Amino acid sequence: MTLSRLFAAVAVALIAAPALAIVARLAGATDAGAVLAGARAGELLVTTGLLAVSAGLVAVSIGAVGAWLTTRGAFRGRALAVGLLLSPLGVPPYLVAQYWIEVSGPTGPLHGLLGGAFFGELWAASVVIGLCTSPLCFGILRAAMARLDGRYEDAAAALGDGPLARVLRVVLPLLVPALSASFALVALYACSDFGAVSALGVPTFTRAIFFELELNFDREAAMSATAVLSALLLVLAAPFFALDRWGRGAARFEGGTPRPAAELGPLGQAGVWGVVALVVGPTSGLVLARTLSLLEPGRQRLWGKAFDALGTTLVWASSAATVAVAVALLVVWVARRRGPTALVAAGSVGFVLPGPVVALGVLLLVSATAWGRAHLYGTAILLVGAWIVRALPEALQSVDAGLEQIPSSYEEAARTLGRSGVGSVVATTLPLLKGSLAAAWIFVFAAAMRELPAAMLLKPLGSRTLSHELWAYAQDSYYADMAPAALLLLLVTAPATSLVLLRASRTS
Amino acid sequence: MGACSPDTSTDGGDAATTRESADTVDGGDASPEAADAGDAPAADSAVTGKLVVLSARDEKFMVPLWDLVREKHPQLELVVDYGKDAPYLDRLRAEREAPRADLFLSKGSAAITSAGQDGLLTPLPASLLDRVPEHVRGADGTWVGLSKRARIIVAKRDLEDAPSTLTELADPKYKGRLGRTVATNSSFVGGVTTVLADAGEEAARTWLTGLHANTDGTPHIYPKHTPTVAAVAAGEADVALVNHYYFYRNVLGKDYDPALDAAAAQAKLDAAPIVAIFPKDEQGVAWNVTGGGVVAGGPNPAAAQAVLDILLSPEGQQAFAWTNREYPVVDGVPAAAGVQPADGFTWSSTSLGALAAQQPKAVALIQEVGLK
Repeated sequence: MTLSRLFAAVAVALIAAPALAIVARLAGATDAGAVLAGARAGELLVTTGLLAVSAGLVAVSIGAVGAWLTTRGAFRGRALAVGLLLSPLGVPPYLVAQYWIEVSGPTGPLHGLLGGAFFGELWAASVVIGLCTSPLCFGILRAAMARLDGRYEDAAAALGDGPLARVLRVVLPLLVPALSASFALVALYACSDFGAVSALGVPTFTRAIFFELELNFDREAAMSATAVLSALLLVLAAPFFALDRWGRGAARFEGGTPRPAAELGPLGQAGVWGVVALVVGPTSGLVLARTLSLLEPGRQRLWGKAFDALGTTLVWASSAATVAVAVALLVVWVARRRGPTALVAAGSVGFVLPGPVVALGVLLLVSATAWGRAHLYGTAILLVGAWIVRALPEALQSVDAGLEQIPSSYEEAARTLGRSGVGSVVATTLPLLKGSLAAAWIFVFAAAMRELPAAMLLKPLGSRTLSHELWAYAQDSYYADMAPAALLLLLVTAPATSLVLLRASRTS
Repeated sequence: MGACSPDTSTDGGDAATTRESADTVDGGDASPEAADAGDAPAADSAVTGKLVVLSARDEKFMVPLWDLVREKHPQLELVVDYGKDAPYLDRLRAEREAPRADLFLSKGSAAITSAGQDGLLTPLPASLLDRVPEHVRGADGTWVGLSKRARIIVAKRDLEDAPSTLTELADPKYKGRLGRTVATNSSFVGGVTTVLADAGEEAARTWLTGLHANTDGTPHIYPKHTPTVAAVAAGEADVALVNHYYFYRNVLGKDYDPALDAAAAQAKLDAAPIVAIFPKDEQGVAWNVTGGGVVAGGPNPAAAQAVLDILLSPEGQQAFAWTNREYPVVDGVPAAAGVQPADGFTWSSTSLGALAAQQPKAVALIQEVGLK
């Protein structure tokens, strides 16, 4: 079945093409040194690196505490606590950041309390991104803790270790792969975040790249600068990427009989709900409460625009999700059954490419040929393509984890019974993969629904996404005008995200 | 899927539209009233077909204009894209061989000047160009200014040492008292281009260094103009550097209210805790314009010109400028009620082309001085 390998190779080549276009552009950028000096690349490097590490630490600490309390502790309302701790992933960090600025601004309700404490502050961006991504760590660590073999702890207890010593000497070392993977995941996210750092005014690579693309009228210089900055960002992200891969690989081989949960005392319970309040209050809680309180009666035109944007975004995001899942299935199947396995890694390139960088790569590719300019430029295909590149890594991962558990012997059996190659996959593997495919679909869909920078740079003529709609109002401080679009976005993405998260926290 | 908006086309490119025209077509009997303007081609009768507009001006401020356009040209299907100046240059360039857009409305003069120089816009007829003063249009005749904005100072009322010039804002006495937007704000950059063009690079560097010293490490660098003005109104900062309409947005109301007459507006101005200071620097008040140009080779140039014709008519000027409380560019059209009259201060005489040329230098200088 060389045809499937050919298709998979073509798909991966298309996914990698925007990154390659940037590399090609880099070769033509003769003034790289001047760009680096002009953009203060050293400062960008330090700021972005600090943001990645601090956001990662915030997210991992909160995720670990929440996961520990909800796996080892038994208390009334545990399912609710789990749901609430997962809820920040349902709100886009850029919306959280906009509201931090809004409520603390000179006319905001919390100005007296907070002053303008957040704007331009690296720590604020770290906390926003850390809190918003903490559910990722929470999910990964909860799964890892549930798999921990309780016998190691029993042995340590028998040797006289107290509870704290057991955690430090036994539990933590066993969790290192999961802790590393979740830290790296958040750090990678922080490297590529555009919206939260933009709203909070923290100068990172992604923001510098976006400003070049959006504000520099010397377009040739802007493209060169973007290519140079993107390449540097990739270098910064590479170690996090490697750490993530290592952690995930190493985390797979644990297993054993978990320790049973112990009834939590009043102090423990207060601790749990304290952590929940700390996580939910400044993120999903704030966003929901503030959006509802900003809504003004009437405003039919605004609601009309918001529903228009919702309609278009739904169609584009579901197209992206459908294509991404199909591509992921093809690539993973070929990589697992036929090889080379490197196809999966190559298809994951979007993991380290921020939205504006993917957008630039897509634009460079399409503008390179007359055909592209005439038939592709300004169409929704570009945006859908960019979303696929960005979200494919997660789809690949979900499908890969699913396929790993399905032996190839089922397909072989089906073939000996006379099925064709494709027919044997459809008859045996596909039905078993349904859950993973659905999870991948929902993940890509939700990611696309809320994606911002590529949506701004690649949107087709005459329409815009829900995320762009609300961002445009927020940019000019028209927060009440932003509320309808924000509410619609939350109504769609929050349930979609919780579905994925709930499934992940159950099945792992 | 898509139940909320079943008729939204999504096959990309020219099919995806914001149905701006949807609510007018059903009216049917709106008479195709002749535009009042002189001899601009296609201005004297209703135009039809589809008009694709690239608008770098936010949608919020375009509504009254589109209402007017629909009234005059009920058969015209409007497809309006809202975005930013710089990416529109990319789009116009990429589509040079087969443009899909007809009309480009820019937020500032730099991008549209660049588009004109690049051959992306088609020269406008004298009947349109001549309606605005010479310094408010492209030197090559490819675009016209549509509305003007001024860079001004907002100060606390009764501030004893209130500045009268922009230059003074760099004075150390305003250290910790000066508010401004982040330096990446396009209007901030635009203001710097004026200083560069009028006073030269050395003076601009000194001025920026002073602004930097007065704001660095203070809590008075704000993400946007609206909170900057609000901070002065709340008494947090004493003075701030902003575009004039943000002052009026704060004092007269967030959204433009056509019912607010001159007396009511004056009452609000008198009661406000802040005042607008139109700077008396030697070079005059820094300003910029929104611009409009017809895309070279676009599918519907007649409709594009017809919209420019409306924009440059007195009612079009009001619809366009008043909604954001900017200054109309056509002589004899007043500013919105309450807004400082355009002849009440001295505008900088620097040409817009000269400003555009300073844009890259302004960005470089801001980075060099290190303003956040």
